[in-house]
Amino acid sequence: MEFFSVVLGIAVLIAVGWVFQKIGGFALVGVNRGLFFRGEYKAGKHLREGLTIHTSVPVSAVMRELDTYVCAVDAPLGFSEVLYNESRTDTGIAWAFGSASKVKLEAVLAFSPAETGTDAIFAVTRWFEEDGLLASADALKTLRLQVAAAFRAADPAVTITEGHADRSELSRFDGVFESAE
Amino acid sequence: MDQTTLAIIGIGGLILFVMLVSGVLKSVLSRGIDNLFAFGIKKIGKKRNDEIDQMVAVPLVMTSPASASQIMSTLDTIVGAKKAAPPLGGAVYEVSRTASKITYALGNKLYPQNFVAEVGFGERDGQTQIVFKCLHLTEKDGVRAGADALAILRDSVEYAVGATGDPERIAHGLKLYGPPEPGSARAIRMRNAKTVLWIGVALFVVAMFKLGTGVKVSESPLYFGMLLAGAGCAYLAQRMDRLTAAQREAELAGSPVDTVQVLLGEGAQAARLEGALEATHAAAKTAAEAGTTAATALAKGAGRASAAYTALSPKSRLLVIGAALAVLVVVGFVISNGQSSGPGSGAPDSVSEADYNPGGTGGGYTPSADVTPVDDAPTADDLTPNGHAHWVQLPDIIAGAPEDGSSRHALVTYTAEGGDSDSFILEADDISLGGSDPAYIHDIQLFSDELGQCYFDDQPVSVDEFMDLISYGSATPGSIDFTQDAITRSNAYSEDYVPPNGY
Repeated sequence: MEFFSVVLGIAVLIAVGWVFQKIGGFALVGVNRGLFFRGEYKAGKHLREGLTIHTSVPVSAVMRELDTYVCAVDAPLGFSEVLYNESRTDTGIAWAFGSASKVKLEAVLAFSPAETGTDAIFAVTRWFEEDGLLASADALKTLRLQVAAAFRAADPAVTITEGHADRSELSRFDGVFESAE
Repeated sequence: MDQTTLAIIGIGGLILFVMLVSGVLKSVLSRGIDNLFAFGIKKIGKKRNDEIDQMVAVPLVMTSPASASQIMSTLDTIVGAKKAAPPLGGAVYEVSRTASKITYALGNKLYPQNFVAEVGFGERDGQTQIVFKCLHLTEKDGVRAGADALAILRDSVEYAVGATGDPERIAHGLKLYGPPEPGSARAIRMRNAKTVLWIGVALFVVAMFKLGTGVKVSESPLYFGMLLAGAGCAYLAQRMDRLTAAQREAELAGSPVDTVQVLLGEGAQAARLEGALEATHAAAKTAAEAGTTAATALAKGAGRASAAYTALSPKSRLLVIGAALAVLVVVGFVISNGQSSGPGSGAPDSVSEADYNPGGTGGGYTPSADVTPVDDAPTADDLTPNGHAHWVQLPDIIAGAPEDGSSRHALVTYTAEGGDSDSFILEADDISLGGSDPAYIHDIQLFSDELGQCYFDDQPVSVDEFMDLISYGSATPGSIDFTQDAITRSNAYSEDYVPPNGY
């Protein structure tokens, strides 16, 4: 019984510590999101919404411009955080941002043939938060910008819409959004 | 279990509990302070960081009739990158090289990758396509190390591509981007900047050491003064470096650059603004004269203050130091806010909202009489659920712009979500216009979820044209990034408006 009391006491201490840690963490998240980095928090949420794109040119033309405009390396560069090509198929490209030891962000650009040209969706499939904020918001912002620039270079009349308006259409994109949600 | 054991366990538990709580508190406080520091850095360096972000985000794409091997050879001459990272200091060196790509980095053996950039070569339409990309730029707490070196590398690559096959230009490029000739103005300035920086570092280290190990109360103003002087030296060294860069830019552009302006932090951007140069020259010189007068007065005042201070009792001295520190904190806060908020900070102050005289005549903004929001202007209710705002459409154009191009200002009026209206002027620093080139606006600052009406005074523009102008400089094609003191950010667009190239 006494031994049990000691164990219980230690467990209670650990639990109290854990609760304090959580309360501190929540407070920090709240302060960051609501006060110090309110703009960054909103911007991070907005950036994660992705892009819906329609272009009249074939995928190959877009792929070529993506190679030009997207600043990604072929593999992670040691401890430096970089954007790198994770995988590439005829129907899409997956990028990751991070170091060799930690991936902080994953994003996918998926293509689907349309009646007049090609439809594409740019989606963030995995991300991390640090103290309540998107950990790699700048990298994501840059990637979105470069993807948009690549499409505009391939097709000046491209239509790029922020977010994904019609979710019923998303099944065409090889399950990109299954992992995103 | 006897009483003694219980007491020991109880005390042990209490100590453990206190350690646990204080550890958690310290951890949270430490993270909070880190965040505060990052927040401060972001506020102070926002404008510069935005420029750097833009440079990193947009690859430099060029084409040349010269072959890739010829361009590589010119790059080797002008960039002059080392073949490996130096053991100490920092230098641009080659990480790898193939027939179609050269990868550069900045750093040394210990910190090898302050930035990583590559120059890729390909073929397009029978010509060589050259793409400069920044792959990585180290950032710590909002400070981007190596950004200036990256900018120089980018410029030198651009120059080298243009100079390939022209020995005269290559020789000139070597002068611009290569190591300075001994005894040249650039070499002297670089040496002086380094000396000033080291003096600043020495002052800072000595002051911190003395303050850390304890000084007499009466001596503390001296060491706080040394701290401030150290910071001043670092700032001056940075300005001198900026001057060297501005001179390089000016030499490339074939126009002179004003030393006073650059040291005051106005020159590099102002020099690019057609028509604004003379005004800023005068402003900078006036500021320099005023600065000299103020410095003389300050020195006299400091002498008197020092004499008065030594006459005080230790308790009064403490009070004085406390008050001075409080004033410094408040002033610092005000200055940092002033630097990062409000459009057009740093622009010539000769333009005020009163200059925008609807219906009036003379220089400045003279809109046509029918510049009023249309009857069916969207209201706050029209905001889309995700916080996007619609621009209030204007019926027509602005007339009466000066023809000499000296007035480069726009008046932006907006109605906030709650119905309050206000306006501000986009000044020269916020609007870059270059001859017949498309105008673009950057760094427009508004509150999130605003409804806006925009006027241009330098040329007649319709709403659609205005939207085009904005879209041109926007981070996201067809929309505008709104920032307000880095607090909020959203995008705005015209509901019925579609730019010619689509969003």
